[in-house]
Amino acid sequence: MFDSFCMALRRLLFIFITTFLIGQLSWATSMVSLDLPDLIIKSKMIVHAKLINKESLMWHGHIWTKLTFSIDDFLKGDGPSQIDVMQPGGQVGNHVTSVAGTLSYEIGKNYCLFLWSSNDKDKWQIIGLSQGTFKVKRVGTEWLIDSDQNNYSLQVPTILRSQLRVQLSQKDSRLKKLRLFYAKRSLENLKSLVKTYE
Amino acid sequence: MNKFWTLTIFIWINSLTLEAGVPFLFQNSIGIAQSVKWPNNQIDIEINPATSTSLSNAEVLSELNTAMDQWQNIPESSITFNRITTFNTPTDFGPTVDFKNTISFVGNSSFPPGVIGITFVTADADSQEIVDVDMQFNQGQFTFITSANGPSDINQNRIVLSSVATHEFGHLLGFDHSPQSKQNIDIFELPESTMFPFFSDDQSSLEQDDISILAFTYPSASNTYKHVIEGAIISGDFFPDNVTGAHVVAWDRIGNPNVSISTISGITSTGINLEGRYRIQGLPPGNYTLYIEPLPIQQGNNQVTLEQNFGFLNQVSAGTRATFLLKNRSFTPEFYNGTAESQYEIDSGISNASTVLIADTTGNQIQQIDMVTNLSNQDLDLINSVLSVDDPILYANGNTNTLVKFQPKDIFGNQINTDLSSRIQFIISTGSFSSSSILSISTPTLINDGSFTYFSEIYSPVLSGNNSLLTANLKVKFDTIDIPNKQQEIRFEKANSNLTEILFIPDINKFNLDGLAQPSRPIFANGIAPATFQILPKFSDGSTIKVSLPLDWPISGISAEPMENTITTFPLRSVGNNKYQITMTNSLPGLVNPVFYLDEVKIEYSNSISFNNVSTNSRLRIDTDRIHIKHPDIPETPKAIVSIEPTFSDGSIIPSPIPTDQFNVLITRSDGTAALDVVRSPVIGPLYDSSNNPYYQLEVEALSSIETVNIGLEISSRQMSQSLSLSFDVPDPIKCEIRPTKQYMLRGSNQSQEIQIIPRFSNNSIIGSDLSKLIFLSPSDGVLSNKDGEFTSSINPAINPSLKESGILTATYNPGSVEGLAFILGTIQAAGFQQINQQGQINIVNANPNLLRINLLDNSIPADGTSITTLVITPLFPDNTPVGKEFNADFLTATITSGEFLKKAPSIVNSNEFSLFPAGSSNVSFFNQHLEDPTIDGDYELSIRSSNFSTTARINFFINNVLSLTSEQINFDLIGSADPIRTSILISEPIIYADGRATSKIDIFPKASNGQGINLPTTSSIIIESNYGALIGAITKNLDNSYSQYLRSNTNSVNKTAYITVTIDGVRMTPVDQKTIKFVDLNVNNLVNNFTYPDNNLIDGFDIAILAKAIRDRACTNNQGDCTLDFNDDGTVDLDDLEILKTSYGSITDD
Repeated sequence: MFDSFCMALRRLLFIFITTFLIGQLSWATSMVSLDLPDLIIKSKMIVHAKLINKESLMWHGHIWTKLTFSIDDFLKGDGPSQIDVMQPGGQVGNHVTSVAGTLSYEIGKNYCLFLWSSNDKDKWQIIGLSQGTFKVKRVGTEWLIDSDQNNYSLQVPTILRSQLRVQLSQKDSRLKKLRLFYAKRSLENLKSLVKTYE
Repeated sequence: MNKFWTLTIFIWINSLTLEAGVPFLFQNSIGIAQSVKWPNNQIDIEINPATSTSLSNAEVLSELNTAMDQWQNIPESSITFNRITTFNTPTDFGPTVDFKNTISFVGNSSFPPGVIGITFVTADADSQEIVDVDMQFNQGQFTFITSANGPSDINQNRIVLSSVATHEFGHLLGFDHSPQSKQNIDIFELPESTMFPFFSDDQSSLEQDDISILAFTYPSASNTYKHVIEGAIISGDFFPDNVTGAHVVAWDRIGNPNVSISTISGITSTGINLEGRYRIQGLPPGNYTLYIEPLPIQQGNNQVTLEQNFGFLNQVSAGTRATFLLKNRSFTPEFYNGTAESQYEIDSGISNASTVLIADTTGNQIQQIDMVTNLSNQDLDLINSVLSVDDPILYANGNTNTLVKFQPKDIFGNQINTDLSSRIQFIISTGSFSSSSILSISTPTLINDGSFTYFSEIYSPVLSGNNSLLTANLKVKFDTIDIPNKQQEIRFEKANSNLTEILFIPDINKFNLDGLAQPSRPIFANGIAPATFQILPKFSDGSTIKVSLPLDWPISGISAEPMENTITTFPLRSVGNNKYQITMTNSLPGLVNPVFYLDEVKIEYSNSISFNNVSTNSRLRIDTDRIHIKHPDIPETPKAIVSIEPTFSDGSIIPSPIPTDQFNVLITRSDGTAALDVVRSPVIGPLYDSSNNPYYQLEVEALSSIETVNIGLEISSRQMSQSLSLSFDVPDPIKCEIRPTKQYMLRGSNQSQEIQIIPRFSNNSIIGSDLSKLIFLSPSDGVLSNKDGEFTSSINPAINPSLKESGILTATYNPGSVEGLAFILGTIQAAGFQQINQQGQINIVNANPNLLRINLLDNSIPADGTSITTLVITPLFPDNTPVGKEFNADFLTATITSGEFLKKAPSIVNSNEFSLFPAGSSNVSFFNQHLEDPTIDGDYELSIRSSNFSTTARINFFINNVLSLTSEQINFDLIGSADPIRTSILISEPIIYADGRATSKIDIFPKASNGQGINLPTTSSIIIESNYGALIGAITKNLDNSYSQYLRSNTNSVNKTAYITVTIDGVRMTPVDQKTIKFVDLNVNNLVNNFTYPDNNLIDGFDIAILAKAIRDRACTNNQGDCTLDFNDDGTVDLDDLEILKTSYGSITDD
């Protein structure tokens, strides 16, 4: 099921790349971002968590920032109720290292994180750095993903919009979930979408 | 399938950098974000090529050298890389960075998915200097290849190392990403910056955007990229703010389209600002077009965002970051348009984009350019705009026009100060915006007067026939969409048949004089008299039509319904003030219904007009029914004037002129025969009376015989019912009159008077002809004279009078020396010469001492020997008329019993001036005022000077020494200053009780220095003052010229003495004895206790009271106590002592 969905999207992207990039006379300016299916597929764990601490430290010869999150919910995978996420950049002493593409996280705020780690599950990193972070806010009894225009991972690819309308008319449960998520970007809908990839 | 996504997704990961097209900021130790850079221009780079698994050492070094050379070989920059090859791979990391700049390849475990490489740039927070850089490439996910084996294939995860490294070396130098992507604008393609966030092999070489930031940050000595364009981006929304996060591009569009340098508003090399300020640095000379677009920027499926592609927002506080993102508004991309830059620009404005010229090749020119984002159409609600038409009603003749004006206003009613003319359209449903063709849509013209109003001209269509109204709808469109409620009705009209004013004027001449139309009057139906109509054409709203209407028939003119052949019409003509005039005549009496045509519009007159014939009751008048017969001694033949007033049957005067040949005058004798010998003048006219009514006139001359004729008249062959009678006659002596104008004259004087002679017919009417040569006058005494200089004398006893006016004759009479009646006798030629019955009688008299009018200017003057008053005497005739100036003043004398007369006489120094001289007091003649003032007739004057004592003087008058029974008195009064010592002041009660009620009267008798009492004038001031008590009321003047006032005691003035002072006319009176009033206490207790007796040397009630008190208090008993009042020395003060005191009551005490 997952493979067929990826095939469908890849087919659509191929059509887009062919038509758009030929028009732009440039291959390399296309398809550089991670979209939502990429984030779901490439993540080892997806959590809804609150930042409770952040601390800069030296790690492997560079300055990193350790972000400690309290987990509210696991949308994908499972683990302890509290995890550390490493983000490149930070300040140790009088030395500061900052990395473009990272976000500035605020303690007490809630996030939806798409996480990856190699073999060291104590040191999680965020996929695509800031791409794998959605800010979330509570509206009523629901947690909604903030409509942040600065997160391009949330943008529906142009090619998908028209094609999805056709695809969504079919009775494919993953596409229906994807449609539901773009109609209402709640963590519940995201969780429901993520489950279709399991 | 996972491989597909792995290959297609990558991202630049880099550390904090300085600035690229966008300055990259870094927060120092005090929280301020500033740019950072290398402290020197030579940077050591340690490369470990052996860490690569896909490339040989030589390939790695070659690819990285290629990348470094891209930056190092820019002549405007002095940056160099000192390349060191190493094969040491550090495994033991210290507690801090190692201050070595290394490049290596790492495995899959170090990077999350999507990361090709990462460059850690570490800076010192205080010095803002880069201290350590480490560049790592992710060979766990990607295979790096040489450019010779390129190009990069993202789908296969194959990346040309030099392409990736060129971008990464930009970060190593401290430059952030640039938002400058490859863009097609107009016919040009803007190159993509090497520092654009998304990878391509095109980024293996530098573009101007990269070179500018390199040269500006690390300049060589020959660098010419020094210029700067800076400013602010302002939101054009109705709630304006500064725009942060906008992509700002300076593009040399014409000269070198490859040159485009960009930045982001809200950040400069000195930090983040929330005012939308930007700064594009390192510009080479050029002619730059400025362009702005909002972030995020969508490029295909890639999107450049502020937070994910730039690092500066990580270097500020959460609040600043939130505010910065809040001000990151969306807007329509647009070009800078110079002075036309405003929120109301259309689209991107590329067609009229302005350029910023930087021509200086050596300096560092700074241009200030602010840009305003455009207001979207949906926000540009013009409902408050103003649409107006100068003239909402146009005359529908095809060439009248008016201006339609439109002033756009925003939703707050504010004027929009920019040229919107290309976006505005006027639409009209009928009529035209052109004078030569039908044009229903117009693009208006901007009125360049600061009001930003737009206008077009609207021309009327042609309305033909009786159609007088056509309505058009005017609309305004903005960007081809109707502006709601901005419509205007315009009407194209001709004369409105109901509202056009038509004024019927029967008598146009009279109307031109007095403005009264009198439309109810008829017109003379002689085919000549005009019925005149004044027409004021009006539109349907009652306003006046101001265009010139066609005048020619049958388009315009007058007719009648029905039209008779007796009616003649004349063309319409303009009389000014938008009015027109037209006339018709009718030779047949009757009613006519006129109809008017104005530019084909038919207008019916609401009333009929009446053409009438002349009435047989037309009026005849004659100025006299009797004139003197013709006589050779009458200088002008006597005539009568006949006036004719032709009227209609209703009695109104026919206003229009009637030719005089239509008047036929018939004069007949009493036997009915025509009096052909009577001479008459032709009828003349029309003449106009004071009311501007016309009339006609002729004159009829007298015959030489006495008889009566009859005068009749025909007008337009119609016999008038009225006729006149005219008699030719001679005077009647009995009715004639000789009339003096004065009844009395002074005997023997040179007085004269006019004598009037009034000749009359037997019917007592005055004869208007000059009969002076038919009358002779003679006086019984005195002399008559006429205007010809003739006078009566013993030789010439009679003269003819002279003509005065209207037949009245006159002569002048001077009295003779005989006292009594003088007669003026006359004869007149009537039926032969006959005595005039009414003779003139005049009393010739002497002045009478008892007929004097006396005017004494003052009846009383001060008896100071210097005061003067004037006495004027007018001698009178018995009829109380003044005798006149001819009376000899020497004959009028007077005597005064006291004082003396002063007489006016020419001054010795100047005879034209008169002065007074002492003339004595007895038998003094008067001065004739006529000598001083010739207008004064019959007044005679003396002046009187007073005596220096008080008395009453009597004046007696004499004429010719005959005492007049009338005399006069004058008082010489002693009036002067009150003498301070001689003036008496009397106090009625020198001692009064201090009870607040008791009063004492103060009397003042003003006396002169000689002791004689004087009567002070009313203007004198008398002031009475007292230091105690209260003066009551006003000072009153008594009949004996004394003055009085009362002083009342006060209860708090016990035992006080009031000193009375009197001041008269400012002089304080100082009588010999000081005038005082004592206030004493009525309370016996106080008197006794204080041992204070009212010692007035009089035994009075005080003493009784004191003794009574002493008895009651047993003040003295058995010689004990105060026995002062024990008068009988019996040792006790008792009633016996009181009896003693009572017997002494009223007595004066010894001490």
